[in-house]
Amino acid sequence: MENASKDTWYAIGGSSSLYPGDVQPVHLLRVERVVWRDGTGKSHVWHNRCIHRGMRLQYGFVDGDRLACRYHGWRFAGDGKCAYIPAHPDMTPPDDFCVSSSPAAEAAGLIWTTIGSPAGPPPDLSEFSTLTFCRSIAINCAPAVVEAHATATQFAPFAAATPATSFSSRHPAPGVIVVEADSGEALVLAVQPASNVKTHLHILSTAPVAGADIPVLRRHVSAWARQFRWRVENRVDQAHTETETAREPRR
Amino acid sequence: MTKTTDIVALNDWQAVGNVDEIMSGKRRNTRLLGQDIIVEMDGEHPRMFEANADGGMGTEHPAQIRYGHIWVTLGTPAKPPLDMPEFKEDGRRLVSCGAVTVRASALRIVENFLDISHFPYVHTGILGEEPITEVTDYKFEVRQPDDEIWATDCNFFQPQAAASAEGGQVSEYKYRVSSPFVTVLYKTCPVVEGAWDLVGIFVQPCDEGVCDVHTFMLVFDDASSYTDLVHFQHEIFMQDRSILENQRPTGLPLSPGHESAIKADGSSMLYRRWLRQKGLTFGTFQGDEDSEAA
Repeated sequence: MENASKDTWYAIGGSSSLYPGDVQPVHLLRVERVVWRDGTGKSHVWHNRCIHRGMRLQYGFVDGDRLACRYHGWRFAGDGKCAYIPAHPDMTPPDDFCVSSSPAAEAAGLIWTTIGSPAGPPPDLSEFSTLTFCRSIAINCAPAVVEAHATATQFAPFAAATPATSFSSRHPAPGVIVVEADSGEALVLAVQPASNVKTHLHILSTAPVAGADIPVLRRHVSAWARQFRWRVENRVDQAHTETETAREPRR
Repeated sequence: MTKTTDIVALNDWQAVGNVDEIMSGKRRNTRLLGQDIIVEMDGEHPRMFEANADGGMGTEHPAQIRYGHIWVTLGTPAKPPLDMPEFKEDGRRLVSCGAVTVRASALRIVENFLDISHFPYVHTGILGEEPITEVTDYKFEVRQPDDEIWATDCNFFQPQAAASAEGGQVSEYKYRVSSPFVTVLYKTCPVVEGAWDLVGIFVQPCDEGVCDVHTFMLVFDDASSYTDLVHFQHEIFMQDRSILENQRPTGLPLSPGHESAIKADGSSMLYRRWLRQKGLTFGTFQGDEDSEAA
């Protein structure tokens, strides 16, 4: 993962895709995390491992503003501290019974996290007056390969009366690619480097739409996403000759 | 991996197959402690060989039949497999539930078997259910001269304690760990008052993180069909497997401090201490915690 860095914020999904009560696994730079949204609407990114017996917390369930481990029902509050142990209902868990957490932030319709210590906040995408999260897609390729293809990609603008004729791309922040058509409409592509062979792409559109047009925009962008995935996985654009690292062993 | 060098694991008996399934003339090609092996019956006599790289039969090792299973060793055990006198009692049924492959450490599998407090969450509606989740005090000790772990006075409310149970009951359990990969529980029989049903697992550690688990029941139950009894056991074990394959790190950490423990974990902490004193390493966590699990 040549372009990947520990101290970088990466998008791990659309805010609108994680409902209160949802718990999902996250793979970022070959480490495991779990993201969950509590009953009050706040999202949390934690290490995907219960402190008690190592159970992956992604299989847990949300109980109000706490995450419960699937194995023994231990409840963890939003700060990661164990708040309740069902085997000993009258016991106050000690302070060091605490799940490790990672920084988490929501901005520009995306959930962001990092496995390191970034100097600033997540990328500022406030230059776009409209930004709609459309979908996430998993691609079986190295992050660098996906980024290279993304930089060279084209798309059909949603709002343009006539097809775009030229495209330009730029990197406003590490892991973020903006592909802009001469009509002014852009796709914002946030790259999540999962491993050497798996990349998630979170796709937003700057098309000026609202209300009932949003689902139509999402279908439009989804069609592009499926084609993009096909092109990357089949190396249709032969400009890129990165060598894939060997498949990682099952862990 | 190749055959382990862990002499504690090697110098022990492990069950590697069900006698009925390895009928005369049939073979089971399997794996034990990182070594490919061949298990077969020669008439009434079980035999076990290391498999050569070309699949041929290599060095032969001791094999014997106990409790409906073939027990073998790649080393020189100091003592025989555990003694279960209940197998000689009249009226009991032996139900062998077959081998289930689990991608987990044998030690995590045994530790889960000793654990009561997961019942309401993993075996919901069968072996436990919220809000009755409390684990009351129980006793645990290493018993000599056999060097076995026993946990006794384990009481827990269960909605459906066994295939034959009608309605909930408070079940009493006794747990016994006779060697690192072999454990048996004694449980209140829902049918015969004062009797104990036996449920046990003989874990065959194929590799550090892969096992075949041989499960049996020795119960007083004339009413349930063989199929019903096996289905009950399989349902429970599949639920456990969904946990076991998702514990990280895969190996069991033996040093205190790697994982948090509470009073209800007394028997599992004793198991970890007992393994550490034996010097067992196969299936234990050896590395840097963050490297695998961060």
